[in-house]
Amino acid sequence: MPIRDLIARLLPALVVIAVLALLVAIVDLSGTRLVQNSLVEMLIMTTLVIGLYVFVGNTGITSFGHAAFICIGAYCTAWMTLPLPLKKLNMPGLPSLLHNHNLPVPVSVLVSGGLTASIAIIIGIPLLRLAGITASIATLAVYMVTAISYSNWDAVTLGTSSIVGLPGYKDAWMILAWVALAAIAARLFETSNIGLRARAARDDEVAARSVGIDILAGRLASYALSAFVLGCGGALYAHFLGTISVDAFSLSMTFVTLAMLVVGGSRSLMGAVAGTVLISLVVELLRQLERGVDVSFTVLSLPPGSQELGIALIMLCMLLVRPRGILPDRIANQTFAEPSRPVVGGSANDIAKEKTT
Amino acid sequence: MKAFGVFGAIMMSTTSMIAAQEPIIIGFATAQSGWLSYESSSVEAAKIAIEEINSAGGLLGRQIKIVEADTKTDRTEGARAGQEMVDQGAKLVVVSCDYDMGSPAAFAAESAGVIAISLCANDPKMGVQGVGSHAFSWSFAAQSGGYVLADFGYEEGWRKAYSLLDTTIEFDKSTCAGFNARWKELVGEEGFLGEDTWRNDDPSISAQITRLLALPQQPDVIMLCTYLPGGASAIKQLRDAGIKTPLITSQALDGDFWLGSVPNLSGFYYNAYMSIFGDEPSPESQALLDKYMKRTGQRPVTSNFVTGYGLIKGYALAVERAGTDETDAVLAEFNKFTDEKIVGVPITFTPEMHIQLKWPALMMAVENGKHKAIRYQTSGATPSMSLLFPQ
Amino acid sequence: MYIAQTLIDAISLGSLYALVALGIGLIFGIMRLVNFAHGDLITIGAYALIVPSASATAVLWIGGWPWPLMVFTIVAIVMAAALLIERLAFRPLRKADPTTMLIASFAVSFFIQNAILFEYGSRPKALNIGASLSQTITFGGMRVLLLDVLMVAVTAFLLCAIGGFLRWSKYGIWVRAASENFNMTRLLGVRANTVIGIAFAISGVLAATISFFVVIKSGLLSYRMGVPLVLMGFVATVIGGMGSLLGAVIGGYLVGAVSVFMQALLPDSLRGARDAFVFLVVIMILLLRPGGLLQVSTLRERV
Repeated sequence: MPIRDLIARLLPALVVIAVLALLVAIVDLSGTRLVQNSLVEMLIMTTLVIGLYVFVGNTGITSFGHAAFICIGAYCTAWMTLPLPLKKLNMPGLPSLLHNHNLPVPVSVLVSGGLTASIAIIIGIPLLRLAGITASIATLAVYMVTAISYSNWDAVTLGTSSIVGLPGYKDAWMILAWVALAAIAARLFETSNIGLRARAARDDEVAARSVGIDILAGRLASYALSAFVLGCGGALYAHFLGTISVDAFSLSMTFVTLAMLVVGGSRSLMGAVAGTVLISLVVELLRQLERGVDVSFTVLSLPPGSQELGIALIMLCMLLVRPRGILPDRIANQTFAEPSRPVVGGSANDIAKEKTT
Repeated sequence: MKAFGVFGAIMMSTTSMIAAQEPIIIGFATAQSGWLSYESSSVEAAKIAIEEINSAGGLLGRQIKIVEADTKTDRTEGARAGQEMVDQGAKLVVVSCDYDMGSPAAFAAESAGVIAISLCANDPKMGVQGVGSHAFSWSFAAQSGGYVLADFGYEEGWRKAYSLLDTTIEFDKSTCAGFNARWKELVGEEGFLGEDTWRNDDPSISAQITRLLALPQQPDVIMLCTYLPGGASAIKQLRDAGIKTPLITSQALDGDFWLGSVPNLSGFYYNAYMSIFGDEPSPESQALLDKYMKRTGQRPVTSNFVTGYGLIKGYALAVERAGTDETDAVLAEFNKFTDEKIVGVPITFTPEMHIQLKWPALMMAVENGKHKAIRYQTSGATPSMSLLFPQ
Repeated sequence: MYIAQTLIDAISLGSLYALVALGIGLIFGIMRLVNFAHGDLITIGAYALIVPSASATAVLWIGGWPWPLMVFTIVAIVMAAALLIERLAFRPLRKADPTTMLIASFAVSFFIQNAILFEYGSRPKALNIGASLSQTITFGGMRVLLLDVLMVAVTAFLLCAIGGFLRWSKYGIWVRAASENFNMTRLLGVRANTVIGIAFAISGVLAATISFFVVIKSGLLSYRMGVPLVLMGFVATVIGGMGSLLGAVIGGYLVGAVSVFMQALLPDSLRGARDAFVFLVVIMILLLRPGGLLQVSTLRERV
């Protein structure tokens, strides 16, 4: 494949990476440790939202259950990296291999992604036959089963208690590298044949079926890649916090990540990232306001709790003003309009239409 | 050698004179918003202790300076708040009362080699075996709380117990595990009629009530391991179903603010840090309550505030003994604490155990909707390591 | 005997879920909106009973009024809140993607919860209303709470009333038509705002009803009290068959029954994971009948 084609395919991912790299560089040069912390958190959220986007953006099914994948990834990395004495104490049920050996964090993150993706494939085969809201409720049910099982699987998850002491892994450039991988993977997938077919099925299921597109295969591939990225993101989140517990991966997390995706525009990678960055910035701004701002000798601050009210209102306003996402449609759609390869060229919609006519 | 000692002493005194200019910084990474924000009463009591120390000339002659950050009852914010306190030079980071919400901040302090003390987490993992060797909790292990309640029940003459466990949080599982184990020790297996579970947000516990009423033998005491709001709802449903059996629960249901949902509640017992209802047997605790009410102008909602005050007094004691606020020296002093009476409570720490196992609890009774202090209760035993850290 | 009593428990819990599912199903049928804020309407109704204050002890406000006035006022408040939310948050999004509307409803829900936290403080509030209803009556060894009897009766009444309204009144027929084909209905001259307003008003009445039942049963208010209800309500609506009101009710009873029987029959060691089994059953039902128990033919997912 010519390099130019590849660059054209990856363009939105490259834009995303460049913008985030710029942010990291600015903060690296000038920011305090706290701002850096917020930045790393934002980068991890970006990974998660990209993971979510791979499924929602390519299949059009709203997932209520992806916090389950984040949870699975986070616990998996705890199994493989928690300091050995703590691990023996907290997770007696693990196989002895894991009691005696640990993996380096980056390898563990990848393995966590792998485990999560395998689980997604197993549950995806029956569930992804469902469509629309039924599929969404099925993902919710998957979340509930996962969360409750993990809360009760005391031997390896410490039940409802927090596991503390995961090794830290929160260098902004390192996390950025993971975001970059996620963005490139998302982009390669959605411009591949199977990704475009999934999108065709999203846009017009009947037309897609009529030209013989295997809807389940496209959905399943999206689901698996999505779970892989979410699993890695969950592992990164665990190393960022240093502690994990099942109720950290709650329905609220599901909705916050979903909100970031929808605010940005759930149909394009750039939208997903833009939503995450924007909401993270707003949260950070409100957080600073709540802590107080020096205004010529007096400190003005919002009362505790107003950050949450503010973020809800701002989120709602963004949705009302731009229900299709904050990115202009032109940019969001353009990323599928580079007709360089005949088979995958044109928008996903066009393929289905083309083949039906 | 002697000359060196003198020289050393001069060096020490000069450094401490320089240091005397600088305040000792105590950071509070606690919840000012979110569901855990009620822990502000403990923070308030901690501030009373700090003001007392400062107005009496400070700690080691240095004033204590307070820095604060809101954890928003959120783990990520908690880790951030803990880091912020460390960055601002805190020598002690006071973290949330709840293990799950407090441990991220405590872990941030631990990673930076700074002492973290939880206001009142009841999980022994808020210590060496969980967060790490710099983490403490100014309260008792939930399991030992269960022990005290079992001893209380036994002394009251009850012999057949049934446990109703709310599985939502670890605290309740640990409390019930402690109670069940101690009860079986005291009465024997035949005195323990079984355990049923529910979740705090279940809208109804009628299925659990049905199972309870279908038992071949009715219990003469029911142990409820739960918290609010689900706990009060469960009590109301039990009483509405006509079950008049005495109920025991933990300090999670302290206070009279929720009694409105079960007016004229009777036969209800729990362990508290002290009585806030004017009949506190310990004069020291009563004096603290008076100070708190004078400062805030109102009665605290629960007796939880006590731990915040004790925590600061305990830290001050360790710093004074160490003669410095350097972490390692203070830590060594803490680990030597043996039955140090702080606000009337004997506090013991060892290098392995950073939470109390023998905290004397004030048993409270509610009869006809009125609270009444019964007595300070201890258990004849302490929970084993395998109970504290289940394998 | 044990099974019979468990059945009574199941019906009582099922009625609660059925009422929630009814409110959610009605709105979904017309707008394709999964209204997450429905649970917070329940919370609003409950909190309106007490004086707004952060103090730990709740003081009755509307809850202290004579009951006909109290019921009327609470229903009016919740209905007004439902209409207000519709006007401010959902009407501008009427043409948007269902996911966008869902996220908007989530934002509304998040706002309401935090506003309550802000105004009323984080501690749960206790209150005691309708004490005469929380009596247990026994017959033939069977226990039943007076409140549960009322709840089943009210569920049946509301289902019949709403069903009758939808079947025979002009507005009701509009609503039904809209839930079958919204665009066509508009083309025939039915005002969309009226239809949707009616649906939200009804969902407000349903939410207020649940507020009463939950408060009388538990005696407690907490800012997230509506969340577990609304989750189960969704599940019930979907397995009942989206768009079918009778299906929603059946789904509610089914979810309640599965939950209660799991609690009663699971062995000791698995009982803690009860909800995991409940949701496994839900997944199985979804796989066996993807369109729900009562599938509405016109409501096949738009493709």
